[in-house]
Amino acid sequence: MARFEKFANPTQFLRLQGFLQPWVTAITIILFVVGLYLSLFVAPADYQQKETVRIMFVHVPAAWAGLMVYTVMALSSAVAIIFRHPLADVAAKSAAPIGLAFTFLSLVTGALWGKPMWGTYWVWDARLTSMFVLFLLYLGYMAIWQAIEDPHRAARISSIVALVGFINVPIIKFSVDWWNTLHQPASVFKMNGPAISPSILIPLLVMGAAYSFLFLALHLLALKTEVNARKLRQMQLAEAGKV
Amino acid sequence: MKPVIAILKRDLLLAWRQGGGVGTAIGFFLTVMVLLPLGIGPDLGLLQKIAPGGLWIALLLSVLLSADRIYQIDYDDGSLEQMTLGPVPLELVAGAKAMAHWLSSGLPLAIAAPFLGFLLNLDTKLILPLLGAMVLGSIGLSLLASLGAAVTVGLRKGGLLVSLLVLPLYVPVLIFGISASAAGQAGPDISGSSFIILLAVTLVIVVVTPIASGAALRTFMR
Amino acid sequence: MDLNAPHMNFILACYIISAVVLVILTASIVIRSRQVEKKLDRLTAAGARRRRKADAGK
Repeated sequence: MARFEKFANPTQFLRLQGFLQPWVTAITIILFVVGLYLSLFVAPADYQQKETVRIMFVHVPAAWAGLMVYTVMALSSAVAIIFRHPLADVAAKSAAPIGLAFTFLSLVTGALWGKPMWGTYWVWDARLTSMFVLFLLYLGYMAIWQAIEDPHRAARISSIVALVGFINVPIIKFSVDWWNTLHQPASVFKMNGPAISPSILIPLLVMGAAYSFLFLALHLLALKTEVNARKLRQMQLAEAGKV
Repeated sequence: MKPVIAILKRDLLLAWRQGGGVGTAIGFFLTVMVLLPLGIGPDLGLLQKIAPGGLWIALLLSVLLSADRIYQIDYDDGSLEQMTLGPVPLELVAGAKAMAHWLSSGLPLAIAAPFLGFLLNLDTKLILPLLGAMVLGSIGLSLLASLGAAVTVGLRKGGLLVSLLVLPLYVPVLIFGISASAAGQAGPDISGSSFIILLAVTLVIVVVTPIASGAALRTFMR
Repeated sequence: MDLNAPHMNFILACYIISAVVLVILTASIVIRSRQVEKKLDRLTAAGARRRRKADAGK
């Protein structure tokens, strides 16, 4: 029970969350409205890809967000391991399903983009393959949380799993790129870096911001729920103890 | 160093006395070798093409599946708890146990695999490069499998979970292992540089996994 | 946007699937949040508290 004397921290968090939540939610909605308008109606059809270029505006931000969430998860896990901050492992845990959803979306939209571009739903393109592996890392992380009953152990072990996965992400990315250049040199997804035209780049960035803020909004809410759930468990235990 | 050698000796002795470890793993490996042509068809040309990849995948599955007993027996009879209470850093314990697993399962499998390649009509001039890459690569395979075992010690539904956790981490070893075996590509010969990268990947794994396994085992100390 | 462009179905499918998945995700998080809060309120109203320092010793 000594652990819950640290509950001052989560209480502070709840205050911060209460203040931030409406703002973040509002910004998310605005960004989505603007982003969708830009990407569906303003952005011109691409010279080569025609209208299918619009898939990029939901595909690429989802992939970005998937990677970003894994980074958040790994950083929270590091904080949880090093400082034993009670909020950190909750942060990592509640980020995982959101990241899984983003990664899943990047895979599905990637496959749907592949059909018009390559004539087949799935091509073992380097980026798609890396995202697939990331998807598996998310699944493994969530599975380990579920498999271990003792919540303290589950938190520690899944932090370790997240960190090891995070160290591996760049190595996996590098190896998949290497493998891909061996087998198929050209990739449709390759864009010409900064040469990309602003009419495409701006909607892409707005959608990227929208996905990031969506994550922030959902994560704040999920965190609050986890904190409340722990409080609830404490109260139920205390009540059961009284009788 | 002394405790490391002691653990190594003990685990190797256990693996040897209990028997069945390597034998079962090679049996499993052979089963995959049989299933592959049955699934794909007996076309010798096709089999030759997929032989290195098939051998690698069979290797990493057999190394992975032989790893569950690294900590399970010690967990069951309580000696793992003794180790967590003992003076030896758990990182060293984990490293020593992984090394014992490599010596007793990974290495024998890696040596046997290229020679069993004849079942898949493996090009004979690939046997030696494959042997080199597999011996080096199996170090990483054993270490990662031992990490998976450390993370799931004492769980009832460990097996499938370990595969889900560990197999994605096998991706770099598999890719550079295949590439270092000079197999499957028509392009310029990059087996040398692949071998060096495989070495680098292995070194990263050698550094990271004992630390991570040690941290995982420490959760038993409460 | 030209609705008759080739592959329009793929483009729309991407947006719709993304919307559906994100809405389900949001809904599940919101619903769980409401549930937990409701239970918490009910217990608080019933006068329950978390265990205090005084009786934490046992």
